[in-house]
Amino acid sequence: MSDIIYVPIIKTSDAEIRGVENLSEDIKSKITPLFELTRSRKSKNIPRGDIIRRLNRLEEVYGTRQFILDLTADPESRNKQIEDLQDNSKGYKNWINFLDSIKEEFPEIIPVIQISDIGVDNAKDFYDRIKKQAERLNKNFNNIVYRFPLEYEDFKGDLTAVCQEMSGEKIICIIDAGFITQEKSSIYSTKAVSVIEELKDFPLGSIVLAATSFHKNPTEFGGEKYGEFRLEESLFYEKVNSKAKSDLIYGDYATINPMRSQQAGGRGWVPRIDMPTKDLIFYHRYRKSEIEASYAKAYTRVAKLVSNEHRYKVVKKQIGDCWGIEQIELAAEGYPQGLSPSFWISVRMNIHITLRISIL
Amino acid sequence: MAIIRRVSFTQSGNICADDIALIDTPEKLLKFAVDKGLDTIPLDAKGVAEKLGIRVEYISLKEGLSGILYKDKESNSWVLHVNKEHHPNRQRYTIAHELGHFCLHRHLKQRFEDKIFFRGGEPNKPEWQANEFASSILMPEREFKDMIRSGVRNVEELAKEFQVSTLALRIRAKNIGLSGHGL
Repeated sequence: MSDIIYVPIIKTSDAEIRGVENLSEDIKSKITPLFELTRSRKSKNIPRGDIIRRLNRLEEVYGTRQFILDLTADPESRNKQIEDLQDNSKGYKNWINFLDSIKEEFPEIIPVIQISDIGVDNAKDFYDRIKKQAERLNKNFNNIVYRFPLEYEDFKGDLTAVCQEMSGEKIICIIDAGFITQEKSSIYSTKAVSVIEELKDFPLGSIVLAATSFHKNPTEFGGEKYGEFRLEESLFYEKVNSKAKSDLIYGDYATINPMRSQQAGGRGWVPRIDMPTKDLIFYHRYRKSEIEASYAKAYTRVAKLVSNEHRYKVVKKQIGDCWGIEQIELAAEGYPQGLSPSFWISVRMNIHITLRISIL
Repeated sequence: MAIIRRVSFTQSGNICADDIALIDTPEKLLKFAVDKGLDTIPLDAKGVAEKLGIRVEYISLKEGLSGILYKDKESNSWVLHVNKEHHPNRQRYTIAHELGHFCLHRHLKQRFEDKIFFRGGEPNKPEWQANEFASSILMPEREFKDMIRSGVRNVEELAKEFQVSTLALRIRAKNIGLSGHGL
């Protein structure tokens, strides 16, 4: 699996899928995204959201390309369908059958092995169910992913069970550090190095190290009109990769916080555009005024501020006119193509992923 | 994430300070409680705080204050003062709220004074985050839904199971999309 160079972890929300959809064909061919299946937006007709809608969208955007498929564990993004797919009965039969049922639409899928102890009260039963799942996945797929949170302590037990059913070479292991901060970065990297050391007991195909430092609400920590944050995930990866003396693959959350944001609701929002660079993200933000009362005018103003920055020009020079850069340019010229925070999340992601590929 | 674990089948040993630093979500805190052999329904909030190295003290606080969480400079350890005049359910909520600050915000501030809970205001602000954290650990979504499915739908009964106030329960029900269940 040495052809994998970057694993962005992407939830199947509207904003994130749009960011991926608008990547160039060249960039799409260079990344191996992990799509974390979430429910669709709740509506009057679908009060709990639907995963089929998300799958249809995924098919449009990424159908025949290679990607990793996982199920979300975020309570805000799950529904009964996802809970059922994570059911461990009969060796995770629901998940296995589901993967079989979508193989035609998604021929290059790499599934994530599911681990759940719900309804299980002893270790033997717990590992037997994992083994049964691994046995079926081994028959049906060339590679599988084992993804676990950095603080998870039982990964060796899980991997021992999985490796009894398949060659370790088939396994791509993703160590997911989740949300990391500058303050805790050294603790996380020490922990990651020791986890990687323990993984050396297993003959794994490859190891991905993923994290994100994007705040759930950046303006809480940055300024009212301007703010900037270090991209800790990049520094974290470099530090761990050099300390662990291991050939790790870079992964991140493509500038998204792991937890789903609750809708602010009713009071509107303050237009903000985030601009990723190599080591940090900066943003400009502008509250629409009585003079510039429309969101369009406010986004134009913010886009001008962003595109006038030297750091913006450096990134633009490096990656050229990707979709995200085009959106900022259009907005700065007075033609913003989207007036919602969700649209500008897609723009941020799109630029970040494109830039990462040019760096890695 | 592919992993949903509530019980550890392996002997993990004692958690160290570095591992405590990694507890920054309600799910991780509940996993920690399970690993430590503490009750999660209803949550032994005081037990969790103590296992995290926080000293919990029930004392008289000036009017309106529910709790204070601060880092004691002399002992270099965290202390949680809970208003001893309050109802036990309120005290549990206070501890859970302060656990939210401890897990999410202690690198930003070393003293938190809390007066009124359930107030409105800006989502995503630290107080709101601590409230959300408290609700999530006292009334975990999965267990809440399991109880509803198993037929426990009376507000008072549910509040009794989780040992929270009916107001806290109703707010949690609304936030996890269960407000249509006679709640």
